[in-house]
Amino acid sequence: MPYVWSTIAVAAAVLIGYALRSLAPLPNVSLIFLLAVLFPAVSFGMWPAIYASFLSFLAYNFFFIHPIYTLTVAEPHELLALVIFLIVAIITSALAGRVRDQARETVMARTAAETERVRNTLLAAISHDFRTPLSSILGAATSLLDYRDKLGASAQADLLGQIKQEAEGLDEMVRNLLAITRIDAGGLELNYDWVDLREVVQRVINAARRRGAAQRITAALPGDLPMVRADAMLAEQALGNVVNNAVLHTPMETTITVDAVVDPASVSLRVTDDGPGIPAETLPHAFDKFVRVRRAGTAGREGTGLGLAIARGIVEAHRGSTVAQSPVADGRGTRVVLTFPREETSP
Amino acid sequence: MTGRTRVLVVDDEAAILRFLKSAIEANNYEMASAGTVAEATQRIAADPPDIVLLDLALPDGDGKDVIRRVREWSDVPIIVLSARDREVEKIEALDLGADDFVNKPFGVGELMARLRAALRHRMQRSGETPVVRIGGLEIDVPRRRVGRDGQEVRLTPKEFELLAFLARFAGKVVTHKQVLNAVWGPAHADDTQYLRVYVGQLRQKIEPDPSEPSVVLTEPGIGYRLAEPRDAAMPPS
Repeated sequence: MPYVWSTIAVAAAVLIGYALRSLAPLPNVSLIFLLAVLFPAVSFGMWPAIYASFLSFLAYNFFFIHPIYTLTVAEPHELLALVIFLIVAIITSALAGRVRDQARETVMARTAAETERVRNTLLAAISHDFRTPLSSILGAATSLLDYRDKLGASAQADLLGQIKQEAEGLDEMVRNLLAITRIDAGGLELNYDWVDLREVVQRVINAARRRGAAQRITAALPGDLPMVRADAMLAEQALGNVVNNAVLHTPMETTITVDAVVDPASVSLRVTDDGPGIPAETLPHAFDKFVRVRRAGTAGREGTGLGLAIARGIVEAHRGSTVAQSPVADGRGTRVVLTFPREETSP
Repeated sequence: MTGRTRVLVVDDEAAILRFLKSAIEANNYEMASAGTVAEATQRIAADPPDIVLLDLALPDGDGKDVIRRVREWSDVPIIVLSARDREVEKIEALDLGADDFVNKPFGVGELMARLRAALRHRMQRSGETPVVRIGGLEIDVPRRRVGRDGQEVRLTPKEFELLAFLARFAGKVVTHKQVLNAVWGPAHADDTQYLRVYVGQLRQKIEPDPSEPSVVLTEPGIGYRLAEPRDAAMPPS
């Protein structure tokens, strides 16, 4: 592409040269070709500029030097034009290159500072979120080590169950952190296959119930729910995070419904709860990283503030879209919609 | 087979080896360990174990190299240990000839179930599939009969072929491609949408609760697994 533009620049110089000469006799048309060398030198660097120098020399010789329309070099000083073109090309491109490098360094320094900031937030969030489950694992394990003889069988089983549950929670947090890192780095690899969303929804609901969700969670899927092309594992993680988010942020007596809207071009999974809803000022940031909604009377502990950000990252990697809506009805409730695109061939 | 079943664990993390040793010995197996690709390959050749548990992340290379090399001369069952989100890696390992996989981190109960399934499957590899019983479900492959709680279940020929194929590998994972190849033929090896439709229909007919399958289990992104016989209560992973 730089060479195409260089050629166009030289062609333009020829046309301008002709135009000017028809208006007034011009002693030195070669100055116009100097512009045709400067332009690629500044924009594209040395080699396109050197290319433009030779091309300018040839064009200048061919169109403007007697005998016109031949490439004979009658006088030695005509070669001087070529030498000057080349010197201008090399010096200008070197200068422009240095300026470009400096600009790039500035941008890189700024990106590095931003990455550093994100990393610090991430580390702060991680150390906070890891400490709670680690405390209870350590507490339960040391209780068992120190007081095993005094604890009844059911108390022992309870402590062991707590260790297992908290460790599973940590595993899930690690998965989410890995996912967000990959999404941020643009390195999310999708393993596309036909996915039965009915099964994804069912697995997500079953997993939430197994983890002890107190809310009523129901699926209301249409009979004609088509399959979509997606990464089964990631689609499950995205929907799982949304359902988990609803479980964490609503009171126990809430009903959470997963349903779907089928359009010719897309399938939307909707997770709707009739809980207190998201405050209006938080709603626009619902999918941002580390945004947590604190509300009294909710059932669960805090999340990492990554769940919805990951869900959005996964759905967008599928070229889909996400929407959060609150309130849903009667001033209450939250609805998160994950829209996956459909292919025409879906059965 | 003389004496106790011998398990070779290929992993370089001391903490993993430590808890695996107690779990494996509690199940009355013998355990040996190797920490690198080179050591694992050499050990399997010099002193063949009955089964291999193989971590794919090894200090001197990719655990898949162990599968590749060992499969040139041995059909010892190999169970791969790999992170949950590395589906592609697991499929590659299964294609190279691994028998099964367990997601890391794993529960010991799940690992032992996989181990038993792989050992059992190896012993019956030569013979045909006997009658498989999972919970109240009875699959009589030679007589092409399926019953649930004593009642006959009517399956279409394709549904039966699908179930019979899964039953042949009961307790073990089978990839989408393996099922499609065997039941629909190599021309349909990528038509996973057929598979999903048929698995859905099959579940409606044979699962006690089709919304929470306990017989035909899904391994997301990889394939399916028929629950281990006599152990249908095992929760899906």
